[in-house]
Amino acid sequence: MNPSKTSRRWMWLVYLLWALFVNGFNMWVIGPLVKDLALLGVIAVLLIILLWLTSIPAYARKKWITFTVFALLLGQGLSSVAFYPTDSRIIYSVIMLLGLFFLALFITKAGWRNILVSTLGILVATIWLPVSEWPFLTHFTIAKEGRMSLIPADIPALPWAVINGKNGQSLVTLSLAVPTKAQLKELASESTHSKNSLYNLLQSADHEYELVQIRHVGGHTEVRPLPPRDMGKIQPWDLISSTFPFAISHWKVVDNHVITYLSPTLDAESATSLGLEPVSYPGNFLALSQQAWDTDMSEWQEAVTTAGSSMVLPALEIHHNVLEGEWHGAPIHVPVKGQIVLSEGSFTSRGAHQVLVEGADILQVVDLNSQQVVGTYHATLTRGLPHNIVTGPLRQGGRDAIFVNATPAYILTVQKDGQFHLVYTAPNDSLRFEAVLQSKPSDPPEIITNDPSALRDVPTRYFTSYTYRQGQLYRNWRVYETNVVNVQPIQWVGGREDLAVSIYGSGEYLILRRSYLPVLPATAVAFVLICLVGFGLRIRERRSSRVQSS
Amino acid sequence: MSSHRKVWKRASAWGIALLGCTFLVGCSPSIQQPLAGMTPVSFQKIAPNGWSAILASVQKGTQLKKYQIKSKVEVVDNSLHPYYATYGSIQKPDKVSMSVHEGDFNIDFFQQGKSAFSFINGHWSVATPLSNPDVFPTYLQILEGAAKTGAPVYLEPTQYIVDEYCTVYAVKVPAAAVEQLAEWDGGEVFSSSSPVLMTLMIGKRNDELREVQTTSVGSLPNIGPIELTSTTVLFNMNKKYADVTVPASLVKQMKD
Repeated sequence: MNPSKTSRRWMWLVYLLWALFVNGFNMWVIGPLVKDLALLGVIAVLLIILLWLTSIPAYARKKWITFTVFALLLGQGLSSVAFYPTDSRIIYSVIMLLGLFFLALFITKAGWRNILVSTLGILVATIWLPVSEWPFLTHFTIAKEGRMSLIPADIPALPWAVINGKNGQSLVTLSLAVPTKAQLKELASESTHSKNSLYNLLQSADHEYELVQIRHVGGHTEVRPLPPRDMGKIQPWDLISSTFPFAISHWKVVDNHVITYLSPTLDAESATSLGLEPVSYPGNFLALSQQAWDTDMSEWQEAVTTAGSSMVLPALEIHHNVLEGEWHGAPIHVPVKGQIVLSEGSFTSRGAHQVLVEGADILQVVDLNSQQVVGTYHATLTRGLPHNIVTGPLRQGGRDAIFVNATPAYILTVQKDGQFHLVYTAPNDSLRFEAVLQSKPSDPPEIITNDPSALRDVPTRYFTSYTYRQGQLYRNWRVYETNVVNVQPIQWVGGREDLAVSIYGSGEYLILRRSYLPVLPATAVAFVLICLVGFGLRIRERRSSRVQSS
Repeated sequence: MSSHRKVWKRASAWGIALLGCTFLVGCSPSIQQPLAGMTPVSFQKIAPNGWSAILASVQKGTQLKKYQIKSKVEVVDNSLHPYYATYGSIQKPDKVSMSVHEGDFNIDFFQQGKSAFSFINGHWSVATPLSNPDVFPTYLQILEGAAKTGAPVYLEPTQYIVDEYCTVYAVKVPAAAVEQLAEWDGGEVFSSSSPVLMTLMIGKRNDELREVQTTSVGSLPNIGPIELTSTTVLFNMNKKYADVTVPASLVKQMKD
């Protein structure tokens, strides 16, 4: 069979589209099947590969298979260096592009033009978004994707602090900022204010981070150093919690950059003597935490004052077991049993103005209108209460429920009379509630989790959405991305809620916006169509060879 | 014959291709986050002589000449689980060698008699020696105090620890009983702490204390609840592996 001249002229487009499609198909269909369905998935993948292989006409088989392998290799390869520093990223990418291009040229014999166009196409696609992040595309559009410089041994993943602005919220996080030699020399000569200040400076010089702000201005995303005057607008806990209580964060302002570095909370003798009293860990670690917090706070306050900023205090705080502050102009004074205010919401009835207070093994709902505790929950040994709690509605426009990330995680609701009810317990120890997202006003809220496959015996968690109905969570979708941590709902552009997430073990982050394009069904349909075209070509090929031989 | 061979060749090619595919789809490594691994307790059966068995094993421990210890403390609250861990040898009365992992800092400590060194950021420096490095006096002090509270001791299923089967006791001790006798923080008592769950594992061979686990929740102002789990394993009791020797890197650094 000889393809006509017109079809040959457009052949490069077929190659380009297939090169992109096969990368997407791999991330959206092949990967998920194996990751979710274990052996069944592997069998399904084998069947899919068989179907595909048999659909390729014999004359194109070698060419098409090797070209597919080339497209996959290039996609994965370019994404694997996507987060290297720019200079090494360029070097590795060029080596990879040239190497794979010439290999493909000689092995596939698909024609230099087809391969060149596909290579460039994959390059542009991976620059837009690395293939490794394509799984998000099945249910999200990417409002922003980027990477901060970060040493995972210092901080495992980017933390998020949120600043409220006039036109939406912005994010504050950390990025490695190694001082130049001249800067270091100058800083060293100024480090005189405490016994350890020079030592700390020199030890931590390669591990200094600066505060950066990611914000939405005039239709695009801007990443800039956080202006020191805005320091007071963030809650330091949001930035230090991932290393608390084992490291102290120190802060300073250098040339309008807010710089931070970590030092161990304990010196060698103290850390060793702590380890020689293992029976007292419960009390000693509380003392250690208190010490770390006090040091952290005095460091923070000093830096905020130096920066010419002032701390914006939360409207409601608990001092000596009393919830105090101001709410809608009215002073609040309610004795409680907890130590922190977790969140505001409507827990006992719709529209109620309440706050959730937490202490050791205790939760309390305080009603701000009536100024009293309206519900109390005591945790048990088997169903504990960690710090990590998410609140949000289970049903559209309903009361707020409490999603507790214990082991296993569970959901509590509060009745009108203040009684707490356990409405759901996770079937495994790995499920973690991340956020409740009211993505579409007409739909029930999406409960966003990280949880493992039900079939596979591994705790690898994937980014998943559920809806709650009658004591059960029903899965809406799953994005086959693991290591998605620090999920932060954010009003990125006023009026709608997006999600900022960080990827564990890297400085990578994404701002995700829910999308409703049927990416997955479209991919499946396209694959079936491609196979049908292949079979069509094979039938034609067989007919024409029969005609020739007769 | 030739067509036979052709079929055979074709079949084996498909076989190899399929095998290759299974390998291809099978490898998907990913970073795993650690999960807490504490021994579950049931509180089903009371152990009438629990406290005396526990205290006897600790008494026995105070007689040891040398032993090794490893422990790990995790802050469960934090979804990223930072931890503190130790590994070391103690040779009484005054020799210690211990590695400490604190968050993301690694520290080594070495002491013999009145001379002590610590290893931080790649080099050794002179440190202050610790008096009486031994975990058992505080075990005795605090567990005797806990026994006085009369908290019931429960017998849990046998566990295998390091190299022997152990009798497992679980007890819920009022937090104050554990906190007030602590030495490191001067016995500070935190009013909002919940009872501490202690799981003690005592070897069946020599009635030695082999492992202690604690689960505790305290709550601090502004920070909120802090849930901790700790596991401490004692091993190589009176064995030569527990001898404390001068670290090779210290000798090297001092000679250079």
